[in-house]
Amino acid sequence: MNQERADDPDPVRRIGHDADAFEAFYRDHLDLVQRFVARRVDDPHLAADLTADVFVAAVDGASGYRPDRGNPAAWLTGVARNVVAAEFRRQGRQRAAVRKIAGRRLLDPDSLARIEERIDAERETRRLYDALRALRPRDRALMELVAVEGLPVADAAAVLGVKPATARVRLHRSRRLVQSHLLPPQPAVEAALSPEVPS
Amino acid sequence: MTRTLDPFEQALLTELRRHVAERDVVPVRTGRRRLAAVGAGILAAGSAATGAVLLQPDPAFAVHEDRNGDVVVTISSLKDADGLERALAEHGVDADVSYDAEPFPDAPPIPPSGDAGDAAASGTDSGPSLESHGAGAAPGGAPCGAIAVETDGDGVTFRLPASAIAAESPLRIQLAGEDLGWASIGIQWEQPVC
Repeated sequence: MNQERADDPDPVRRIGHDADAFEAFYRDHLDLVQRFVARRVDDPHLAADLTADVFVAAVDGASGYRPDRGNPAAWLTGVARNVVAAEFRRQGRQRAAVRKIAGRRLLDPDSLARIEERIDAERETRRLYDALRALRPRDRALMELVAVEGLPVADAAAVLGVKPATARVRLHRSRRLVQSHLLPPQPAVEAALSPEVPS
Repeated sequence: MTRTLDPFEQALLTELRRHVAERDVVPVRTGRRRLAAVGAGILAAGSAATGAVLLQPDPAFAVHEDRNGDVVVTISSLKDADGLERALAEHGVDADVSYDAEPFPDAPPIPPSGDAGDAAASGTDSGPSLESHGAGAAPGGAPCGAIAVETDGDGVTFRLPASAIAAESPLRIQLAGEDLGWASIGIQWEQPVC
C-alpha cells in the first residue's frame, strides 16, 4: 500500500482504500443518503441503485476530500447531489445506465418495502423539491441543501463555494419565490422554508 | 448509527467493501500519485533507466506513468505479452496483448525509422525514450481516441492519455512480425474513450 495513504489520518479520505474505515463511514451516513435519495425519486428500485451509486462515488472521490469543503455529511450531500443530477441527465438523454454496483439486484421483498415506506414518508419534501424548479440552478442548489437537506447555511455555503453572507441573501430571495409557487400552502413545507431551519 | 442493517443494506455494504478492497490493488491515477521511492529516485537522477529495467535484466517492455497520469508504453521485443498485460493493469488499463496474431488487414505497416517526427528518428536514443516527443500526432491534432505510435530503432512507443484511461475501455494491442521488423501494429481502444 502506498505509505502516504496508509498514514492518512483523515477518516473520509481513508474510505477510498480502507474497507474498515469505509464501513464506519457507511454506517454513520447510510440514513442520510437513503433519505436524500427518497426525497428525489419515487421508484424504490431506482432508490436502491442511487444509494449504491452515491457510496461508490464517495469511495472513488474520497481522496479529493478536504475539510474546508465541508464536514463529512455536507461533503457526502454534495456527492449525492452530483450523482442524482447525473442520473437525471442520463435519463433525459435516454442512455443506458452502467452501474458499478446495481443496488436493485440486492433487494429482498422486506428491504424493498422499507424503501417504499421511506419514499412515502418523504412525499411532502419531494413536493417542495419540485417547487424548487422555479429557481435558477445556483439558487436551487442552495435551497436544496438548506431547506430540503437541513444543512446549516454556513455548511451549505461551503459545499457550494460561496460566502455565507451571499448565501443568506440568495436564500431570502428564493424563499419568497418558492412560497409563491406552493399553492395551496402546505404547513409542513412552509416550516421547511422558514428562516429558522433546524440544523 | 447503531441500528442493525437490513438485508439490502448489509448486502450493499458487502459489495462496497469489495469495491474498496479492489481499489487498493490498482493505484489511484491522479497527478499527485507518486512512484515507489526507488523508481522516483532513479528517474530523478536523469538516467535513461525505465521501470522495467528495475524489474528484469532484459525487459521486453517498459510501462511508465508520468506526472499528469498519462501512461507511456515501450515495447522492445515480442516477448512476455502476459507481463505487459499485468503491468498495464497496474496502471488501470485493461489490455489484451497478442504478439502472434495475424497482421491486421487494415493496419498500415510502420516504417522502421519512425514516422513524420524528427525527434523519434534522430537515432541518438539507443534505448526506449520516455519523453513526449511532440512528433507524430500532437495531442490536440489527433482524432479522439487515436493512439500515436512512434518507433525508433529498438522499439515501439505509444502514449495513453490519462483521460482515455479514465474511460476504462479495454485496450487491444496486437503486434505481428519477426522480432522487431514489425509487419503490422494494431493498438486501439475497444470502446469509445471520449
